Amino acid sequence: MNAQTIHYALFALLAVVTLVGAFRVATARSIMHAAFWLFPVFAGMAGFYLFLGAQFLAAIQVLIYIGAILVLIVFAVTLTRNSMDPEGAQHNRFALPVALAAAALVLALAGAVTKNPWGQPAPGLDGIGLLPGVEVTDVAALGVVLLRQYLIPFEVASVLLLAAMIGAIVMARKERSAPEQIECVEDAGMPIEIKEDEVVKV
Amino acid sequence: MIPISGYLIVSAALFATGAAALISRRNAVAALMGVELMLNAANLNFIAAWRYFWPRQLDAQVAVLLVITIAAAGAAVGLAIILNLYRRFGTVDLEKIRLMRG
Repeated sequence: MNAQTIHYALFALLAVVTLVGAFRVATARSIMHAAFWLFPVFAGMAGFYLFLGAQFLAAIQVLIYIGAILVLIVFAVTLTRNSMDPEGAQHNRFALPVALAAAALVLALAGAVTKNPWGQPAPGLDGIGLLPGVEVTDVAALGVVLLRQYLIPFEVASVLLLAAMIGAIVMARKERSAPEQIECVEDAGMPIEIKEDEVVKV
Repeated sequence: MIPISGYLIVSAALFATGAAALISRRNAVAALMGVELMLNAANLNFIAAWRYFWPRQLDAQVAVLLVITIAAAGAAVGLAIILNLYRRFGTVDLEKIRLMRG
């Protein structure tokens, strides 16, 4: 077995792991199983990034997707427990046409991609060989590009993250709406002056 | 080296699966998982094209970093909205939540 064969075998393994995971995410009956099937997808994507020489992105993929988004999704699944009948239908009435359309899309794209003359890949990067035929990029260069050429998108993304964080906290908080408070006061048989006092205080 | 079409086909399959999950799953959390699959497919396309055609320019990696950031923000806000839906309607079944339908 030469290096090329190993490379192809690893690629095929990654592709199978990723696509089986994605298929189960779309079809699993239990929502918790679907959430856990996201793990092979995200891990397989990190493997693809390593294969392509983007090792920093592989680390980021593991940190953000597996470490943050997957955990967040599992939390959401547990917080919305028992909200759907696990025996009932998990797909809406478009399931069959959508599946057929997705299969047709994959076939069409695969045909187009294989027919297109891509030409020779660009000469490789200078770096350490990670796997046969794989080289690594310089993380320092990525940092320089991010903080010089793409400084404004970088800062906008930070502000976006902050806004998303605040928005998520505000929305997910248990809200005590005003009408409910008034109902409580009336239920307790309290005189109306208390409500007016609260209004004055506010 | 694996031809670029290998990566592009995997990416296409991932995208189609994610789109199908987004459209056809009844659970709102599962629909959000479909969105994540589609974003991952787009990232794989970016990185494959970067490696094969512009390996000395790091623009694609920056784009992928930004996409991952936006995916994280989208997941946080989306899940907060789903939690709110769950409190309001007692379900996350997208077939039963009919507030904005006629």
